[in-house]
Amino acid sequence: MVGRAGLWLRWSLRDLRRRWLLVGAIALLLALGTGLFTGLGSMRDWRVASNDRSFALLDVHDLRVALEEGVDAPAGALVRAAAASPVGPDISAAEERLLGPTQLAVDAPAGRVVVPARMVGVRMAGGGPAVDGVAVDGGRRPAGRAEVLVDAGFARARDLPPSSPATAGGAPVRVVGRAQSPEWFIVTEGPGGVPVPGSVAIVTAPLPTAQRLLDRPGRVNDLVLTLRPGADRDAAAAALGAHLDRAAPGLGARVSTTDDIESRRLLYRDADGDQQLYSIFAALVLAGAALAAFNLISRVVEAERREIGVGMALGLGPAGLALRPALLGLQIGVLGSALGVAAGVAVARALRGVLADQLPLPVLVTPFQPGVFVRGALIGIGAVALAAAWPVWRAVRVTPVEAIRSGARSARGGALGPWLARLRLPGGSLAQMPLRSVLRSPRRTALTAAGIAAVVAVVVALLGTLDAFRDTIGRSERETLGTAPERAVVTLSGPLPIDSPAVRGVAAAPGVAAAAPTLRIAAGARAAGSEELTLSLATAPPDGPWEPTPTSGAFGARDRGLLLSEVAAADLGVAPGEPIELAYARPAPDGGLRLTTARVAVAGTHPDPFRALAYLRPAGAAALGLGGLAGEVQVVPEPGVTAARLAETLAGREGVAAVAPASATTDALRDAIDDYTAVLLVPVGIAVVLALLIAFNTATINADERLREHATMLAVGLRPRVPAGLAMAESALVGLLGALGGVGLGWALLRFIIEVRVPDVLPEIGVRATLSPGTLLAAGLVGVVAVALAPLLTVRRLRRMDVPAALRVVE
Amino acid sequence: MVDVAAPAGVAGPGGRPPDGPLIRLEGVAREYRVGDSRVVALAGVDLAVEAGEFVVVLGPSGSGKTTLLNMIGALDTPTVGRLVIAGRDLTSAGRGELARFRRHAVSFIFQVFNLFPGLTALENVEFGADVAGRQGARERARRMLDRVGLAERAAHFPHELSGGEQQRVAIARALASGNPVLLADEPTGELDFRTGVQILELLHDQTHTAGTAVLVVTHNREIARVADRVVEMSSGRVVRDGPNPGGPAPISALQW
Repeated sequence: MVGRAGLWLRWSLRDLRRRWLLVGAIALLLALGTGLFTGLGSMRDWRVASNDRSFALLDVHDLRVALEEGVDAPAGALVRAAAASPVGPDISAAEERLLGPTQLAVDAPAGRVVVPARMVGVRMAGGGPAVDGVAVDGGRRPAGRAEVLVDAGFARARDLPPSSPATAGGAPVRVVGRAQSPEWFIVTEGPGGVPVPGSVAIVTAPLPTAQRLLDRPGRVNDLVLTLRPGADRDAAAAALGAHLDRAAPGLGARVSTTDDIESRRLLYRDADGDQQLYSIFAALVLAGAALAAFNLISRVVEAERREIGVGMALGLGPAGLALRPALLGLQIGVLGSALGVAAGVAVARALRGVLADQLPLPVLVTPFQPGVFVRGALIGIGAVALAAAWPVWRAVRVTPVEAIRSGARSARGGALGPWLARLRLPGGSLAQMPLRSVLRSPRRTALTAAGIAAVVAVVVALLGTLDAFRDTIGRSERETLGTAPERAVVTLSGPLPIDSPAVRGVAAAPGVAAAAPTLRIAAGARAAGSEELTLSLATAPPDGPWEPTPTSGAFGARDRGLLLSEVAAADLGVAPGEPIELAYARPAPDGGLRLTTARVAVAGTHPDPFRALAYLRPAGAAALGLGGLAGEVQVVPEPGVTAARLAETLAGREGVAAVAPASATTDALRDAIDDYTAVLLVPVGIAVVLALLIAFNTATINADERLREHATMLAVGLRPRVPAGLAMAESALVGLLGALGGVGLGWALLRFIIEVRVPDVLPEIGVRATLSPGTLLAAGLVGVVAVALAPLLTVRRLRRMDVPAALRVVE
Repeated sequence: MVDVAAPAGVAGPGGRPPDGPLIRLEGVAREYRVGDSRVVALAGVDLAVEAGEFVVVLGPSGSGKTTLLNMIGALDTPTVGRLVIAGRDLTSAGRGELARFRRHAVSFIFQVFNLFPGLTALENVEFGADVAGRQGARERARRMLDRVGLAERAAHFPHELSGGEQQRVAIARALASGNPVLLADEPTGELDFRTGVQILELLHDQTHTAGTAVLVVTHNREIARVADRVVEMSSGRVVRDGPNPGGPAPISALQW
């Protein structure tokens, strides 16, 4: 073993000077993979940390007391009642609120928006409220008596300016800012129980303003509390509930805790669920980068196999032989790790922008996660170490004379040798060269193609995910809009008789060409052995402007069965004709609602990917005790009348709570998918850069390996474009192999993502794996065209080659 | 005076010579399989070379002379037969032992030089001394380069040297190791006459100054005239093995 460290260091530094561009490019490749792995792998930690800090910043309640619908109490009564309870000494802060339904009408860039809303009146004086605080994101806190805030999610979905005139419950108000409050960081309500961003608004106002707008002066119906540190929250909830039941039974008070906050539950659940998808993408990109780095580094070392053989001939042992490749690996590993930190920070910045759009939280933290980075870096460095060691391991397994004789330039063809000799290809020797070169080195070809395939697979899987989501939107749009694309849905203020003045008024409104009253309720569906699914059950009159499309079974005009989505039928494990148990609220004789269950047969299935959407004929609704009621009116505008103009016409009419185009649901889906799209574009971009880096590095290494061959071609009189063209043809062949393999692998990955992981994250939507022509074109461009064009980068080197010196070089 | 540190079991100048010849081959054969074919590169070769002998292995292309050299240099392993070189039986030696043998017992000069392109002339020679475990490798390398007449080219890289200069660097590297066996595969094959003569002088000198056993493989009969002994090969067999009739000729008398 050579003991002169100085010699080895000088040698290694000269090697680095000679190929600094290649080392830098491979290190960059690893850095991008590691950086993206760190960024995407940190998303859950960022979101959870952002959730934790946002909820803590605004003093989210520990306990909430909500009075029964329609019941309220004098201001101060709830605080006194709580103070007098056994929980009193543990209360650190308390705030009374007034909540009530209303309707918000506001001008948005897309037109007048009329939506159902929830008014939330809180103490804003003195910087309040002290529990479930209100952060203002854009605009300012209300100062005047008619000033309100709308929730940031609604304002973003509707693209509202920070300040605009509006009406709340018909009364003029001014929206002066966007509010962020713990219970409504994300609004989980929507038409028929399906959350649709921008379909329901949370209007936050000073308590006196809310009391005036809700016509409940001096009244409150809600109380939120925080407890001192160390208090047993669940025990306190039970104690407070029991006390209020005894002390004020008429209030119908319900006590809930932090864990019952729906938006909080969804924020944390989504963080976990989305991370599963992001981790797959991150692992894919890192695997692609690591495989590519392995391929490139092993080829660089393989190219020096003759020198390894000479070292063996001089008596160097395996450790001595491995020293130079190890130093190469160390250089790439160190540089890659350093660049990886920078890449991780850059990716975090890019993803932070995406998260800021996705999550309307007052605090967003995206700290660098060293643990995640180290995991990714170890994988990358592992690939580098393996890549440097593998050719040495291969070399020492043969005799020195074999190692010296069979350098990287000598391709024996392996098992393909005899077959290659018998192969008769069209064209002259030059035309045959690219295919023969590819077949002559099957291991190297396979390794290079595998590196390209890995990156192409990443691109295909990522773009294919977007294709699948877009296909889902398309299927929903085709089904939902169908023959009446301009259809609008008028949501009534509550279930009303079909022949009520409000319903008749909508049907008779100017601009309405056709109208059909329908009812939409939320219901739970269960079949034998299945979990309960939430359905948004709507009546579908046979003479209405729109009909669902049965894909199995039948949905006759007088049918009493349910038309389920294909996804719901599959999840419930039922076929047409089989029964399911439906749990829903039906009108009670006393005018209220009563929870009930019923067995209903499945009439058939429809293709809309929204799992919750289900339909009943009026006959079926009547059988369930829901006959003669309408909660919505499906309207078709007259020619030339848009849904937006219809909304203006109908807004403010008696009984009308909201007007929205029929595409609102698919628009919501598109918004949700746009969030994923924004995140996925980051790894797609990095995968494309990786592919270009691989192509560049491969072309550079090929040029080094073929130096003598190209010099010989130039020496016999061929122009530089000939060896460059042959290199491009050979690269195209390898790229084609890689692209084909990548598409196959990418399709398998896509199916895994869509059919195994997405149902865990988005069970409410039936997404199907699909690849668009655009994605296949992208795979071809990345895998074939970019790789094939890469040798053009070496044409300059060919033109400037010192042919005699190159022919004299004996590597 | 060349400083040669004698490896264990091998005689150096002034030391007790090993029992028997320095190089001994008994029935050594080498076969290769190429597809369904069997190629016999060596067919039962017996050979013995003493320390200080200058032996030329002569034969046409494909006669097995390079394969013979590779066997002796432990660059390849025989299919059958026994090899004892510098007191070591290499017949069933493992990779580690073969590597140690190559470090301390033989030095190889290749037809195509096989210098490390990333090292200067001096560093290439120093590498040879270092691998062999010689003390003061750098100084030793300078002396060897001076001996082959390339002291002024010490800082030059191989691609900056002519073919003859590269071969002289390769010889200097081999000499710097100080090993008792020096194997040269067509050392003058790439060189002009004048340079080839210089190379032969350096190799021949080694037998006298260091008692090194030198084996030179060539197809050039003229070079065989300077040998103490000529081993002639054909089709993998030794067809003649004996001293030059009339004794070895002076190198100055060679013409090709």
